Amino acid sequence: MHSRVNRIALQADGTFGDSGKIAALAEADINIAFGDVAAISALAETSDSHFQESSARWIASSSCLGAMSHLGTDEGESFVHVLSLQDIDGGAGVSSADLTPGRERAIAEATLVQAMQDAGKLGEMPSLVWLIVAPGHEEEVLDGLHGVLGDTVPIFGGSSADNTIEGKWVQFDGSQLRHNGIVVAVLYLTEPVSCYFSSGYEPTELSAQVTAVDGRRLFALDGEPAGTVYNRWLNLMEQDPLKAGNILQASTYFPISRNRGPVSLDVPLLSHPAWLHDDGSIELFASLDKGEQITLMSGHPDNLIRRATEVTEVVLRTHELNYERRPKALMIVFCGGCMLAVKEHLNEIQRSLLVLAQGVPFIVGFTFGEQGCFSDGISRHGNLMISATAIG
Amino acid sequence: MTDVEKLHETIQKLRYENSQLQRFKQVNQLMLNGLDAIMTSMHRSEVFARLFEVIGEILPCDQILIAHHNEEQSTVIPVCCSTEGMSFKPLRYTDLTNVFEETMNIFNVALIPGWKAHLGGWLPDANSVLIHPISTSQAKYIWLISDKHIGAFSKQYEDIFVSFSAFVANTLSHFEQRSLIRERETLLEERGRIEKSMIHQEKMAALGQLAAGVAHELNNPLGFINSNLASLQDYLGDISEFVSQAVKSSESMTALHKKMDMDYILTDTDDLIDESLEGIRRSTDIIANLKSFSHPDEKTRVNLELNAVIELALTIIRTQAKTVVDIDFTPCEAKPVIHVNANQLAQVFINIVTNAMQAMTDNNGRITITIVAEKTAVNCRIRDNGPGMPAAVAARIFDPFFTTKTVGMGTGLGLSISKAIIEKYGGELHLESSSAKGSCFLIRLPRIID
Repeated sequence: MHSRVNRIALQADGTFGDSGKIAALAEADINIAFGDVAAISALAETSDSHFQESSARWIASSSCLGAMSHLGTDEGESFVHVLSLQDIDGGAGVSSADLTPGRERAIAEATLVQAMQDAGKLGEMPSLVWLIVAPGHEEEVLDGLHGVLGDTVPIFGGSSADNTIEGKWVQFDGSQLRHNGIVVAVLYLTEPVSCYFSSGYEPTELSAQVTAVDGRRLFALDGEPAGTVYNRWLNLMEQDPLKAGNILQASTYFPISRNRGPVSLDVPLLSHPAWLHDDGSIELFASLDKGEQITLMSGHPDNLIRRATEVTEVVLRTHELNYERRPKALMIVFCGGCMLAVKEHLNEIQRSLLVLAQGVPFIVGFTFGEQGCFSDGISRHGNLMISATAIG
Repeated sequence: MTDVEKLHETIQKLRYENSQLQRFKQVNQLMLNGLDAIMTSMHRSEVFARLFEVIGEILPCDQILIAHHNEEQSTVIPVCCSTEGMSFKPLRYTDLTNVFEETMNIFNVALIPGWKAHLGGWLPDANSVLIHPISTSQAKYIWLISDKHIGAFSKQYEDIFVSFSAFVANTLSHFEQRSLIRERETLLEERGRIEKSMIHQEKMAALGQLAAGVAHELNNPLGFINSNLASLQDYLGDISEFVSQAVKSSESMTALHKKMDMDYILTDTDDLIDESLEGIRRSTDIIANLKSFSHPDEKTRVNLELNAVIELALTIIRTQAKTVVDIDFTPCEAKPVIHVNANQLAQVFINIVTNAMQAMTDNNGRITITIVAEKTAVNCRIRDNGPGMPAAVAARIFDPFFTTKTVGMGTGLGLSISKAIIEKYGGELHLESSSAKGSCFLIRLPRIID
């Protein structure tokens, strides 16, 4: 398998000037791409003229404020960062669909089956499932994927993002641009895959039981309105209380966590509080279950800046330890919320990754939800998380 | 990085290291237990039954199966299975070429088009199946592990499974080599037997030519000696009549007749001629036997029931044997048919049974004739309870002119002619055993299937 990353700038006229680079992408088995909404939308426009005759599969997602790769950080400009994998010995397949409310699970199942069909490997266990999904129903989508595959295949990816949290995110499968869809890629590799999924937060002593919840809307903790409990916790952490409305930015350093993974290895899976309602309920970016124990987490800008490098270091070390080789490519998914909190330091983060990767090409997407698995092998959806996947 | 996360990552690293070591341990355990299985079992089915037990302990699954690609018939058929008593239909190789190319980790067979019609027949309860191709120097195989749960086999499981495949391939090669060695030994034995037989055939052919030449050369002089002696016997009647008349006509002739003892001379001359004619007859018999020995095929062959040929031979033999030995023959129920000349084959039985009768000295002699019909051949054994024969005699009984009988009682051609006849029919005649308890001859003839 060969890999390479291209970073192609979107011109002022809404096209990619370097048509040679774009045309070369058609030779890949699969292209995994991140860029801002404008770049991914322009990519979809370009596909008619460049990719219609190509057998290259695509899985692309809009990323908050652009994306990152070893070739650079976008800093407000529109680029598409494309990781191209060529000569994959086992093959790859992609399929996509729009998510219809209430049918997310069934749609995810069908899309995965079609992706396997596309790879010519229906029924065969893939090495990795790469998922791009519109924010909102990631848990149901993962349930659907697990329903088909069981729990033994790592599912990694992220929820599409836009720059201003306005719901303009897009997903692209090589021929169709979707706004509320999923794109599923299955990779069949004889070469190894290593993954790591983590957060950059520390648990506090503050904890409560979920006593009333409806999916992602948290009503009560220990019998009290959730907003009241959350504001009390912030007060204890020497923070100002939050008012009703959008609390995404203010809660970035204080997400709540659910303990996941095996009992011997509790790994925090984070939920990002997004909206405080007038009734005291809190809208989250990930679902909770009634009866489960949650903990207030605490983050620090320094941790978030170092986090991408540290997670990547773990995955590289794991890969080398297990397979005695450097991977051929790295795919990093970084929470858009975390990125926004440390966006002035993106160049610093990119330089740290460059030093660490030592020539291994990488791409980074900034998402509004992250999917990955802990060491128990079960893939989950979380917020304010970061994942790194090494292949080859 | 926070302390908690550092701790998590250290644990994560240790878990990976542990899982890697676990994997090595499992593979080593498989190898050790697998070797033990091979060392303690002799037959392939036994070895693989033990090997499957070992695999099942390390890699939990419902069923393990190894299938072989038969290139000649272009089919694939299981040769070993962890579940006893299952029967499998061969599958067409062309339907399975993909599984002979690379490892397949099928997490849900229901998604595989045509699964039920192909491998589903072998693994009816499976939902997850791991398949790996195995090639040896002699053949191609696939080995399959199945489980009723969906997504039962993880990547780590698959890695161990594939790592152990080389061991399974070596085990299969080991049995292929054993089989090749056995085949080689059989071929070497066969070659030795053929070489020995060729030497014997050459010797027999040379003897046959010599016998045919001698028979031809002797026939003429014996013919005119026989003719002359017959004429001389006729003349002797006239001479006797003349002498009788001469004696009556003269006293001096009477005196001379008496003095010369002409009565004795004439009587003895007649006896001498009789003995000479008897000698000629024996010589003629020997020459006829020599001709049979050199040309045993000069008679018509037809399809006959072996039972009938033996009955024919026994009818002749019993006229001589009823007071000497009991002959026990139970016709074969399968009524095997052979392609022979009835008189010629009956002569073979007469020769062997007569030899046996002559060898038995007491009154409790018993000869038993049995037939065992195989698919393509018929084995007929003639056993006696006589004194057997020394090894030096047994080694030469099929040599022409070899006899232990007194002169005039046998030509020494009976068994060599019998052997030549049976071999002409594409069969074999052996002395199967000989001891103080008796001897056993085996006649093996090709069976004609309708």
